Amino acid sequence: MARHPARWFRWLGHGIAWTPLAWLLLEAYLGRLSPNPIQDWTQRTGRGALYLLTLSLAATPLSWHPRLRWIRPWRRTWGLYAFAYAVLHVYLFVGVDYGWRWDWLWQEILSQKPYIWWGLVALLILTALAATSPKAVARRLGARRWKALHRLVYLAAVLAVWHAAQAVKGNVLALRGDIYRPVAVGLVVGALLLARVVRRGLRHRAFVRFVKKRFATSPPP
Amino acid sequence: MAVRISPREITPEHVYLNRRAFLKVAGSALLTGTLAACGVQPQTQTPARTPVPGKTDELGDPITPYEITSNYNNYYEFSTDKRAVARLAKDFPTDPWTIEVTGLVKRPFKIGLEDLLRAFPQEERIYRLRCVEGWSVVVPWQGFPLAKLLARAEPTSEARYVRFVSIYKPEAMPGQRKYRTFPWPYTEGLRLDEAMHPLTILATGMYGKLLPPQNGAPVRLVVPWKYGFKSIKAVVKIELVATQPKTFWNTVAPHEYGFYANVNPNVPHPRWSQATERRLGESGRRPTLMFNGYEEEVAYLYKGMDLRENY
Ligand code: HEM
Repeated sequence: MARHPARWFRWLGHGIAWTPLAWLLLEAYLGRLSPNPIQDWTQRTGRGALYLLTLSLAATPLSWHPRLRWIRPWRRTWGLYAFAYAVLHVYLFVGVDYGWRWDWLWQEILSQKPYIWWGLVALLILTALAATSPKAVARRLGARRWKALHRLVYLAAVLAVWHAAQAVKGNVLALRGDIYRPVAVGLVVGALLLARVVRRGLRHRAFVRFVKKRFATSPPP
Repeated sequence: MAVRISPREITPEHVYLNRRAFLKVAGSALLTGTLAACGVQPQTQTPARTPVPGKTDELGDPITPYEITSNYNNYYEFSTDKRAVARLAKDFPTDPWTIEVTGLVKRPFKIGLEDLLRAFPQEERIYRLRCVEGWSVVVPWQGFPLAKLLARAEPTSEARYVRFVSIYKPEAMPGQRKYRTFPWPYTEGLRLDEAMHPLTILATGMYGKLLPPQNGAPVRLVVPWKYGFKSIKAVVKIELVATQPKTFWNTVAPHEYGFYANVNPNVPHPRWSQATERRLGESGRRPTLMFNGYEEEVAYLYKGMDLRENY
């Protein structure tokens, strides 16, 4: 008898989540990182965070398919992985790159277009979501408030995309430079958000009633 | 005006001689500092893997290993991926090569690379190169002051700026085919006094070898107190003009990359601070120096100018 996909997927789901880090470690071990390894680490853990966050957002729309319902809990797992990558990403930036030199960091942050701030807000959101992720905490919070809070994941994703778009070299709005990655992820995130909006619209009562009325007045085929 | 960086003798054992005949000649010129074809036996040697121990810039910082500077290149004509450039540029043809000096000059001329190397003795300059992205390297260049080349053309009194044009060769430069929205060919510009400054050189070699293609072979500009993008690679045309010329990055993103582009820790790029930099080969960061450490030599060029306005 074939095993339920949810069972074997457990390996795949975690495997996917560990891949960016494993790959990075392997390349570092083999000495294949660039002459600017700190940048490799910062960029690739940032990308890891964004990819996992995107995957987490994809879990729910995928689970709408009757045969993929089991994938829904992965939104939490992948979301937590995204948080872990984001923490590593920020640690590398603050601790390794800047060596905790707050004066330099402060200069860096103050002189910026706000891309660091978008990253920071995204990180704060992910932190809040991770903190309220244990079931006990979620229960204490109450379903309504928990749901409202966790809707912020959309905002975090959009901010992270924007943060990445401004961090890469090039101009996203002019579609110039090294921008295909943030643009691609941005399109996927946009599609995932749109899917939810469309579905809500489709399920909306008024909409349903409107459709019913239309079909009621026309003669049955 | 005193220049701290004195020309140093080129270490013969680090001269790398190219297979191609004309480059052999050029290499010998580089080697001996005299006219070529004087019987110097070209020695074929593999390039040194690491810099001469103990060699530093005038601030005492060690030369960045050749493997780093030749494998981490911002050269969009080949790729936006700094690590892909060396591979993609490997077979870039630099022979024959002609540079045209033209515009507001009394004696416009064209000069082939061979003649260029003969006419202008090559000196070594160990310079810091600070990329606008926030990383830096220390490179031993071989080259000669641009002023000498310009003097030969005799700029007229109307000449106020120098415009540099890089080669346009999409069949050999995949980036020029791929990134269509960029205003190829790459162009750069300097004010005439900046171009005549003794620190400004045209480089034909580095680490005692001829320039590898990924670093701008066969001839590139090096302006050590400005961000790296000012130091245009693979130069084919140098034109003296009356008004400030359009430059590549300034055209692409005017708010981010100015005409002057002087290294300045106090004027941030709109998206990041320029106060610190990563020296490749080191871990962590170090403070960025005003005019990349060449303040004494060049600050007078910008006296009375608002460097925030003229970024
Ligand atoms: C306080 C919070 C954060 C800080 C200070 C920060 C810092 C940075 C920095 C400095 C870069 C540029 C790296 C470079 O090009 O050298 C960057 C890029 C990036 N960050 Fe963050 N980040 C933060 C939060 C986040 C979060 C929460 C995410 C994702 C969920 C994220 C995803 C990315 C991505 C995808 C890139 C682009 C990497 C690339 O492809 O080049 N960051 N971040």
